[in-house]
Amino acid sequence: MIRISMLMTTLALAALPAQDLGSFIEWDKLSQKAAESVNVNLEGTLLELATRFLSSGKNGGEKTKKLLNDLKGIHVRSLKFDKEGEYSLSDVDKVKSQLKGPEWSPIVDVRSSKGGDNAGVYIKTDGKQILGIVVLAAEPKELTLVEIKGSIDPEQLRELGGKFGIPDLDIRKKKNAEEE
Amino acid sequence: MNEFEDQLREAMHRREPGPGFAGRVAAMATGARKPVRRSNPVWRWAMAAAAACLMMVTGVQEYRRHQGEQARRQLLLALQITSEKLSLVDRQLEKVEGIVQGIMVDERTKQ
Repeated sequence: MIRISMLMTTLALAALPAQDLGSFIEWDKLSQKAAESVNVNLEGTLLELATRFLSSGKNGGEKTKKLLNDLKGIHVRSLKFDKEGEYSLSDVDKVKSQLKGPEWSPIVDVRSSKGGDNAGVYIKTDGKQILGIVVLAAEPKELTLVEIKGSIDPEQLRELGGKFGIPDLDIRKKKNAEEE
Repeated sequence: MNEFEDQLREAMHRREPGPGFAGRVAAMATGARKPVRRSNPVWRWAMAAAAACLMMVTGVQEYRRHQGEQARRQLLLALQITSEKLSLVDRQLEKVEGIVQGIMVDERTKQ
């Protein structure tokens, strides 16, 4: 059975910093079991440098530049396993429990009780603007947590679709349909 | 013996130099005496320092470029993973929509 909750609430500031989310999963322990491990941490001057290099290319349109300039940090932890059951869903639940504060709005939360994919998109706001996005994807052989800091709407990520080798996204259509 | 003396006399016989010989010798002597211009050691040090600075600046620039390229690759990887996972969410929603639509069709059929 699949339980879905889709909320679009914009509430006040709260205390949990997004950078602590990753610490709720013991990545180092899990990465020893993983066949592939990706760990990206970009913030500050390194991120500025990366965005400068990225937006200076032929794909660097104005919208792309704005999107990249709004990025304040990006953290990705992703593990791919050879077999299923290498990580516990309780680890995922620990992270999800941290995304329930008043500042967090789960725009999509898909959970499969039959061992399928569990995925969610959460937005952090201060009541006026978006402060960050978290994408959590727990697949049978893959576990991924993405934290994007900055005033970026998921729709803006569509702007990057088809550029820099990133596939086109169509999440706006879905989001608008849900709002209606 | 006399023949040998004659040959010797002939060989040692004074001969006048060609025209302009004295002038050529004088010109060569003057040229040889041109003062050798030695470069100032301070200037040489300055040149070495400038070269070292240039190498350092080029090195730093190259390091920054390398660092920027690495950061760019990391950012791209992060954005690609984000994009993939958002697509996964999208696909999940499509599945759910399909299930919901199926249930609604079933209910209508029953009615």
